[in-house]
Amino acid sequence: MKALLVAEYRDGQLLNSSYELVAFAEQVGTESAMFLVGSDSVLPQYEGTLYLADSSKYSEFNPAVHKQLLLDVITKEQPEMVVFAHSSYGWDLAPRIALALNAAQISEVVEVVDGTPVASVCNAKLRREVKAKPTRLWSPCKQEPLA
Amino acid sequence: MKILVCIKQVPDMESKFKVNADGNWYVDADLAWRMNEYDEYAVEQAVQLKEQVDGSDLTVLSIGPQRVQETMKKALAMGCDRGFHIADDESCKKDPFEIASMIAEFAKDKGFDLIFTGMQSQDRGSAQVGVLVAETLNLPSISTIIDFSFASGKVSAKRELEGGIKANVSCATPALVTCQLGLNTPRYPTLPNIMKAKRKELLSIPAEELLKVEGKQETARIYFPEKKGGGLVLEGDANDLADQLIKILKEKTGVLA
Amino acid sequence: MEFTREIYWNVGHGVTTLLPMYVLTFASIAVLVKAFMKRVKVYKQGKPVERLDQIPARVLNLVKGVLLQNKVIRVKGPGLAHGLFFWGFFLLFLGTCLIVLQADFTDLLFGVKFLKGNFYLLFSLVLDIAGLVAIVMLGGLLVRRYLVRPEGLESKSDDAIVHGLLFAILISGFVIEGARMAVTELDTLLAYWSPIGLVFAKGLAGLGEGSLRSVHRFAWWFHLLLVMGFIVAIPFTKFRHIFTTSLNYLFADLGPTGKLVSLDLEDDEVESFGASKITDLTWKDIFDTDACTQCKRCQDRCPAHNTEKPLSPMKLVNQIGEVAFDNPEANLVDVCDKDAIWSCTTCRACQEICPAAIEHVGKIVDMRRNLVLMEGEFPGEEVMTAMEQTEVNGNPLGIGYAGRGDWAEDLGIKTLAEDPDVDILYFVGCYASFDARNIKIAKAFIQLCHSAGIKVGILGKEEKCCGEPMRKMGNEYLYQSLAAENIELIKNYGVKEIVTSCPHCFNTLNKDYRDLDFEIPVINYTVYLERLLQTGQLKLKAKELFCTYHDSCYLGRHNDIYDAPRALIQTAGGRIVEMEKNRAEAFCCSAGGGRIMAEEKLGSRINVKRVKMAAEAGSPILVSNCPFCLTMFEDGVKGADLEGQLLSMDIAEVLVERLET
Repeated sequence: MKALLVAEYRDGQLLNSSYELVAFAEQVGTESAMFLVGSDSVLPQYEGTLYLADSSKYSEFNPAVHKQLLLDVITKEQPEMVVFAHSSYGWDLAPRIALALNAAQISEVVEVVDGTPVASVCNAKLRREVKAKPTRLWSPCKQEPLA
Repeated sequence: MKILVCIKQVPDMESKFKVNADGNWYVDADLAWRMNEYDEYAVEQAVQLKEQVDGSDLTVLSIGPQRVQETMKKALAMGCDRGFHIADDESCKKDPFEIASMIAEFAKDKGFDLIFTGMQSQDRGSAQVGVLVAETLNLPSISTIIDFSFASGKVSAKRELEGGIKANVSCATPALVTCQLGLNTPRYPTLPNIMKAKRKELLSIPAEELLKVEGKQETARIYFPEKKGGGLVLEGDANDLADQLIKILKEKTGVLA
Repeated sequence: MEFTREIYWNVGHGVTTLLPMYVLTFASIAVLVKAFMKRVKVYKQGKPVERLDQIPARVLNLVKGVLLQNKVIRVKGPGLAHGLFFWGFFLLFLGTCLIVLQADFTDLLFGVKFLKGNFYLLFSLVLDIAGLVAIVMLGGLLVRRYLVRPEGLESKSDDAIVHGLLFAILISGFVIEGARMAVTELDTLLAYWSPIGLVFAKGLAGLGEGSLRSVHRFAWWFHLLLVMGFIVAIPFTKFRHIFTTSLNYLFADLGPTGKLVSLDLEDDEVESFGASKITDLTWKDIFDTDACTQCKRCQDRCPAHNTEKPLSPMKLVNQIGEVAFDNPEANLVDVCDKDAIWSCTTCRACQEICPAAIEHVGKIVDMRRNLVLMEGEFPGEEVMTAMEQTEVNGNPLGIGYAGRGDWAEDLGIKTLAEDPDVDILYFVGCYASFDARNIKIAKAFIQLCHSAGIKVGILGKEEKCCGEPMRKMGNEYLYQSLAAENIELIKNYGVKEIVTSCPHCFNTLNKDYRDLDFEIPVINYTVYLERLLQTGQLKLKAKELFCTYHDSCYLGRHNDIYDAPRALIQTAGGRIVEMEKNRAEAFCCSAGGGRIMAEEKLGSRINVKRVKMAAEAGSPILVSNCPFCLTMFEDGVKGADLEGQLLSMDIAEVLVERLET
């Protein structure tokens, strides 16, 4: 299984959430690649394949462009799972990708139990195990519980 | 100007939740229902826009069982002109893609200039429907906005990013925005508007007429999380408490490292 | 010789005296009537309200208010001075009437004289003393107003005219009497029956008869002109209150005490609810503004005013008056100021003490109704949130409704849904249902009932907020929705009697709900428990307790229940040391009028002030009877730095500790 991790960059900084995605991939036990619209001046410490798009060229926020860049990488990498951070960037981009790929998006995943994603419901009062019908899994994941 | 605002009825988060017999959702009994908080911001902004642009017409849409009409009436009392109810007793089983598809199916030939939704629902918290609707309809969308203005066919909005950072974004209409906490203070409906709302058009059609897709996910099991460790209650006067807290944070967490 | 005197002595009883006198009198009265007619037009801007039913009760109020000055003299000092002045001046007025009656009617037409003999002696003595008392009291009031000047007492030119004219009338009266006596009565026995006149007579005696006659004639006409001036001045100055305040006793609200008018919200004809224009108020509301004498008693007692908030009930009433008379197009809410309108706790201290029977609270609630129902405005977002919480969960605390009966688990009581056959329905209220501190009171009450062998039922999750805080905050719509649901529910269970431990619930169910076709008897728990003590069902073992007792506004001023709670405490072995402000003068805890839902952002804290008063009383325990009070006192004890020194308790807690086991 392979996961594509969508790292985040803002205002000249790589966001810490990017490393949470790496931790998530390790926890799930999947190999991974990383996608980032950022800058080569602050590269993530990441051992896998990194697809880097230049944010000065594609801008930090441009959903249509980022969507296409990401879709190109997906086509190339053919991951089973794309992982976003539970952030304004993830919230914005994930549904666009999910629809383009006709894939399920599972939001606010707090843990993965035996391969089944568990999401938080009703202000964390409840948890739900989610079963995705297609094989691919798209998951903006919640930051804290993964640490 | 034609405006659409999509709202969801959610249980009050203070309610006593119970898991249903199938173990795949919570039961309705003993729940108090209300408008999803983020959708209240959406309704308020839509009504403000309607008031700003003369001759606007504002439709409120909601999906769910009969009871969602009560919540729709609040939106009508806040200032929406008409209601469109997609009747679906099983709406809790629909995934965000199905919900978004029904909305898009309804909206596709209506020529809405602007669509407002909440950024997420308080119960499922998927934060997908708004952006999915926009993508399905091929509209530009701006998510998690905390400031909105409209002038000469252009929407200008502020998105809330993490760490207190905001981003200014603008786009031409037709467009869709998803509303975040901080956008506005939803109004309290006035009595004449509550009375008028009772007489406003509220159409209801069965979900089957609009649902043309299949869902991509389902809730296999819902359950209460185990309480881990539990909280620690500190007692004493304020100064001592602060010292104790700092000590605990230093010893047990990396917060102050 | 029979004691009497010649009326119209020295001024004559012919046409040259009577004609100008009566022409002037009728002209003055005509001016007065015309001026009042003009004012009546202003009153008539207001909406109709029935205030002339139950005439006997109203006339009794009028007699007590005017002749006995019962409301005025409740405040010692200035109140008593006014009362004495009034009685003095009123006797002088009656004396003058008797003179006119004899000289110009009975004697003139039928040759009948009654001012003679012993009656004349009494007449002379009484009027002389009346005049002296009036002058002394007026002098005292003058010193108070212009020399001592208590805080908040404002004087205008009106007050100077009133004082000046009254003094001149009284003194000139004695000059007339003195001049006459100097010529006709000196050295007679009769003179001693006019002791004050005699002093004046002796002072004037040296002038000689010719001059005395001139002085007398001049003083007589001057006195007449002053009196005419007085009559003319009535409608244009504070003298107005002689009529308006008196009539206000007649028009006074006959109760139930403090009951608000229910709005017909379904009436399609009505376009605006509450009051934003002068025409939204009733004629009585406008008349009230004309009855106010700005005595500031309301302001002195207002908890908001006493904690530096922008509300003065007196100013508010006068601002409404200014709108009615000078600026009828103005927006009442703007003129009265929203902060002032929101500051009211509806504690009724203003209305209770008002010597002019002015109704302050209803006006404030009417303006709040306009703000809430027509503008969707609240004093703060927290209040709007509490309203929304109540819509969703039936309580302003926002706690899930399904847990409303959780406090009663393991107490052996059932909901009416489970078993409707009960002795009493305990209407618990939101705070005793959800607030940890107040749940203890609910539990104590159940324990007391059980020990008395009473079978209690509750509504559990079916109970909703009674709607009181929302109603007082102006949200009549939400109140009526909640009330309708509660009423339907309670009626369906065939409840015989309802007991409440919250005075706000009590007041609402027992008064407000009566407008909504609800007739089941409602009793406050203090009265109910006292009843159980008297019947011997409840047995207490007295144990010493040194405490002070706080009369909540809604048990005290709103419902006149002062003795039952004190009797309970005393039976339990309590010794009560009263705070300076107790019973009808009690100072609010800050949480009435829906303020329980609002943050207190303006001025200093009312609850802290009240808690300090309790501490000053010198006892270590503050006993109260209301969940709002208890909540505010628990908080106030912290705010006043009295933790460990003052313990806040509810009566039910005191009693439950003393149950015979």
